[in-house]
Amino acid sequence: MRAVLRPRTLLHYVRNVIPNRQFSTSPALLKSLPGPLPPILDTDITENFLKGSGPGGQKINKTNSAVQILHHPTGLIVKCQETRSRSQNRKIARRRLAERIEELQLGSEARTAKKAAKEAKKKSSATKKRRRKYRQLDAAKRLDDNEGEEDADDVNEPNEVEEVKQGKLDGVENKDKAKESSPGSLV
Amino acid sequence: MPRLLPRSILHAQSENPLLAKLLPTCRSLASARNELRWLREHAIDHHATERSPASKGDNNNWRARLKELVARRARGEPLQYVLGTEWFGDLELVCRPGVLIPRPDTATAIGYLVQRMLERDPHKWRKTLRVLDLCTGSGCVSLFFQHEWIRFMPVIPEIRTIGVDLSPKAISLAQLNRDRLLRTKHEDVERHKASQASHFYDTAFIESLSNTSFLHADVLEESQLWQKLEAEHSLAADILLANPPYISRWGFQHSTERSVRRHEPKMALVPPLPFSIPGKDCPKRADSDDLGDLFYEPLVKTALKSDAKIVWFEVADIEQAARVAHLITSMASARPEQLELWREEPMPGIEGLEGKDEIYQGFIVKGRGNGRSVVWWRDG
Repeated sequence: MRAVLRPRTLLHYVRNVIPNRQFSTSPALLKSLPGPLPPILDTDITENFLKGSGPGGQKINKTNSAVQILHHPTGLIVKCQETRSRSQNRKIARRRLAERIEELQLGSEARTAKKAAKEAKKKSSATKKRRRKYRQLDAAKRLDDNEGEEDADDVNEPNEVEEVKQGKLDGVENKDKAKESSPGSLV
Repeated sequence: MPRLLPRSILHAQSENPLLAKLLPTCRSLASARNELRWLREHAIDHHATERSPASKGDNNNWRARLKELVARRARGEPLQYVLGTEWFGDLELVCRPGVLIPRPDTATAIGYLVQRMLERDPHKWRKTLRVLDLCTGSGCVSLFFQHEWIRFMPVIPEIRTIGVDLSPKAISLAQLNRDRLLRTKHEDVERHKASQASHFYDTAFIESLSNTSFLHADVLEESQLWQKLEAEHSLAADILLANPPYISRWGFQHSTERSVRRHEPKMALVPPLPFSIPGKDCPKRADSDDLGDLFYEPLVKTALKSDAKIVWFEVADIEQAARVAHLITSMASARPEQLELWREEPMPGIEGLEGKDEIYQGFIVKGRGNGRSVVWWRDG
């Protein structure tokens, strides 16, 4: 049975799979791109321009361009007063509403949730780096102090410690260099 | 006007001293915060364009500029004059003292007018479309109408627009706004050569902007106006739009915002006194001599003379809307069904789906808010 089946699957592979494979010089996308945001129907929302009562037209010159959208199916309310242009605020509010609806539908798979997770990861990695940097600086300082007491005549080692300090203070580019000559290796 | 609470003044002061300066003009913390943000963006942007962005001491210079801008706004000067522009729908228009600042209600009404024309008979307008915009001011109505037409209508004929105003300042500002839009659209075309959809829209807009002109004339002297329009071969019109001065002298004193009274041109707000009642400056209350309706009679005459098929006038409130509608029915023997009174938000909301229109003094009323315009469908 196997001997009969195998050529067929091979043929299938040659005929169907290979021609459909995309050849590209750029690396393959590992993450799938998010689909389009859910569309918002005009009949589902009420737009409110939040301008209060009283006379209008030529009598009043309001700078309030705020827009508030109520989405009836979900009961979500989104407000936007970012720009001076009401039509731009409307667009922003609609996009935000679409994002909120997607959040409700997809939960952690929504683009806003993914973005937030990415930001959080970035932030935690940055804090980790910062903590490591200060730990190293502290250690270097302690070492410096100790050597000042014990090994005053040694010329070589304080310089090396000095280099560690410099490298760390300059920022990220010198990170690897500083790692190599970390305080642990000096002792 | 509600009194400002000491608590909110202290709050603003602790948040940012500039915010506290803006508070008496803006009247609320939220609005003061917004205006401060826009003023700051403006100060930084202008600073960046004035000098090279990398110049030293940059930081302090834009702060000094922001302080000046905030001081001007705190004295009650309209934000649009301080920043120099205002958004009218999707168009950013230049604003200058001496010319009325475009109002969002006007843009809403013009947008809805185009939407309704689309719903009625979008294929009707195949020949050259002639648009007449009386009392054009900054040119906002002329420019926005063609923008909306090109954006939404399936057929784009040649659009010829003419805007008329009595103020030379308004004429030069309207021309400036047209030229500025032309320039930005040309730049857009250069930039988005590849993208087909926006290219089509931009080139159509460039063409219709090039067919837009502004004429210096008095709308109240209709025979002279007609002669001038005739000389430009533009008396005949398909669409007549007008946002004339419509505030009564009583309304100007009692229901018009202080910043508008002090800083915007009175000639764009209050119609002049007719010669029949000399020496009447500020009547005690609204009476029949002072309704702010002076412009509508010559406007209706011009509408008839130019044989416009669709006529739109902005008005102060629902009472004036009804008076103008009555004027049209009596002067032009129009049927009441041809007329509609629109509120500030004329488009139907969720509740509008029930399909019941409000009736005021025998005329159909659309939307929510204060009465804002009168529409006369002469073709309907």
